[in-house]
Amino acid sequence: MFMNSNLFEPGKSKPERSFVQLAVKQNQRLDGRRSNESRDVELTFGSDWGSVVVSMGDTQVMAQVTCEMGPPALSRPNEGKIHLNVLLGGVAFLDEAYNTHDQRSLKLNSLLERTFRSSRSIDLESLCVAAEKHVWCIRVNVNVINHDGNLYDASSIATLAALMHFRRPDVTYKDGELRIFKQNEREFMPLLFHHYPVSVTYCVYKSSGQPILDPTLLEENAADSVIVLSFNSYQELCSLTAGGTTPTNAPTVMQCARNAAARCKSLLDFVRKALALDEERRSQGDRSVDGLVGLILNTEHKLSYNKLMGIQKQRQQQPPPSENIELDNESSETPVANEEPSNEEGAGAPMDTSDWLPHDEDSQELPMRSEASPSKAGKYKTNKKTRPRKQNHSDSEEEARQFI
Amino acid sequence: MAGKYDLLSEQGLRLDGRRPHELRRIKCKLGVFEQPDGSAYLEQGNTKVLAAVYGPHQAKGNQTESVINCQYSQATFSTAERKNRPRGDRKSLEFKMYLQQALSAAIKSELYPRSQIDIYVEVLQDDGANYAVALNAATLALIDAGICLNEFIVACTASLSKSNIPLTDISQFEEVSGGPKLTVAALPTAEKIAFLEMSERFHIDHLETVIETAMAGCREIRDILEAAVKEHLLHMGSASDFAKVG
Repeated sequence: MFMNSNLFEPGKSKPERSFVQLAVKQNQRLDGRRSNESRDVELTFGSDWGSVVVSMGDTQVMAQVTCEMGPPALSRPNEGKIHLNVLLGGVAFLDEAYNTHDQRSLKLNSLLERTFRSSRSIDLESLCVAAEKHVWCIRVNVNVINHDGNLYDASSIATLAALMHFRRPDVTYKDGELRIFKQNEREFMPLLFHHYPVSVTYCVYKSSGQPILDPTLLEENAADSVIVLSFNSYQELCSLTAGGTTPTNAPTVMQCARNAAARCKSLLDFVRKALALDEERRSQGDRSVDGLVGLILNTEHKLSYNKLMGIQKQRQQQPPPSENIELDNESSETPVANEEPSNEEGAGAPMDTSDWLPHDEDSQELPMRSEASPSKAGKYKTNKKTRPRKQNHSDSEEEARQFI
Repeated sequence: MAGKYDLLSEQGLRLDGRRPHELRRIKCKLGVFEQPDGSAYLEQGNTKVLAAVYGPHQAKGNQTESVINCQYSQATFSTAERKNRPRGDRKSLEFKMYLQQALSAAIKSELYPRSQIDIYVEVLQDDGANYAVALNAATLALIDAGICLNEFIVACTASLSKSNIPLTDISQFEEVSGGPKLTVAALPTAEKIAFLEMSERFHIDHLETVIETAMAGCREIRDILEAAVKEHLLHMGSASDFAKVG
């Protein structure tokens, strides 16, 4: 997709490109997904407020939100500040060709800025403590841990989840004196949002008119153009970028837009549920939340999109903290078939979870697999262990796996 | 969604007196410099841009395909407050990337293997739609340099007023007052979009109209640019006999 790209990444060479083009033409993808099917999204919240790791297949992105008090910008004296920064470390790529690296990082940064800052998703005025003197400066740092395609979605979900998860200290400003309370003095407060945006990525190929959702690195590099859309829950388009080595056309963009709106809504529902679960967990015990250690050890609770969202598999992964809540309200029956992200309704329809997979206590399985038992809300389950499909496989395979 | 101000008055006029679908006045000149292989100067309203093209010349390294190299720079005096960094800041790098993307869709790169084409764009006055005007100027400069293009590649911006009426070709004030902004770089005759970017927010129902408005703006700009190119050819060709352009 980028000019002057390096050849060490999958999808940059001609044979790979023509292979992918042909595959897409025949409506096939390497990991067996359908063209409008996405990988499972997994959220792992850290023990600090505002830290989260998002995994979509092999793509892993970590976001951390921090805040500090500072003077406001001169042009906007009664608004807080927000800084978003994406870092693509060398660890994320096979090759460190500066050119590509630079372009990717630019594009990611620009996308996040437009999605969150330009669309005014955070209420910055609420971050003002004393006009012209003290405002909160929120800083979001996103680190890409591994790049397997679709960094845009992963970063935007990570940023949103981190911002929604984050709590800032309470503060009073009286008589010119600023007092910031510590956690044990006064509870930390969440940020206020105007709306919640999240992005969805499609790749378009010359050989076929059908755009594919959630590309892997191979598919992304071989793509002719990449369309990234962000929507919020009100179906408002917050940002849109389309372009690549080959031009696309307006109808394709519109088609993607329509499908993306539905998927964004479901992603948002998922993030909310995941946050609620995490909240419950934290409130349940004093035992320290395991935090991101859960990523390495296959801990039971993973907040997964597929598990939480019923029909679509949603998995939630939570660091096995004190609370063992597996909230799988809508866990689907067997995560059958439709994983169409566009099948959002899954989230809405309460599924009966009783025939969910048995949970295994120890998750020796592949990382990120814990399946929350599709229990009724509030049921406690420890370790769910079902091998979450790392990537969407064919339906029957999933089904088979479910019953492992 | 839209910003603080309603960009359209009750009489249906914008701040500079334009109707919603009207473009700003376009003035352009090709061949303004001697040294570069191609150059152009383009004004769209108060946004003034210079573009220069060097190439095709030998590319460094062992490239078998053609290399298109762009640079986007804004003069320090181009904005109301002095701009300390004319190039190399994030915005310029982004625009540079998008320019490269759009122009590589237009240039027939298969005709220039192992060659490099350098395009330099300098914004002299910034009054909104920088990227769009820069791209239009780059197209003209490429034509002046004699580089083969698939088609004119033109860019246009569009926005949406509070009353959901699409506006074409937004100016600086309309940009910063917080309304949505959509930039499209397109090949108008082929009806293909090389690059599309949108910020701020509006409801998806309006997306199609706004894109269509921007595309219509692109078509208009293309006609204007084509007329300018023809005039330039006539002017250049009047010395010899190729002045008869169809």
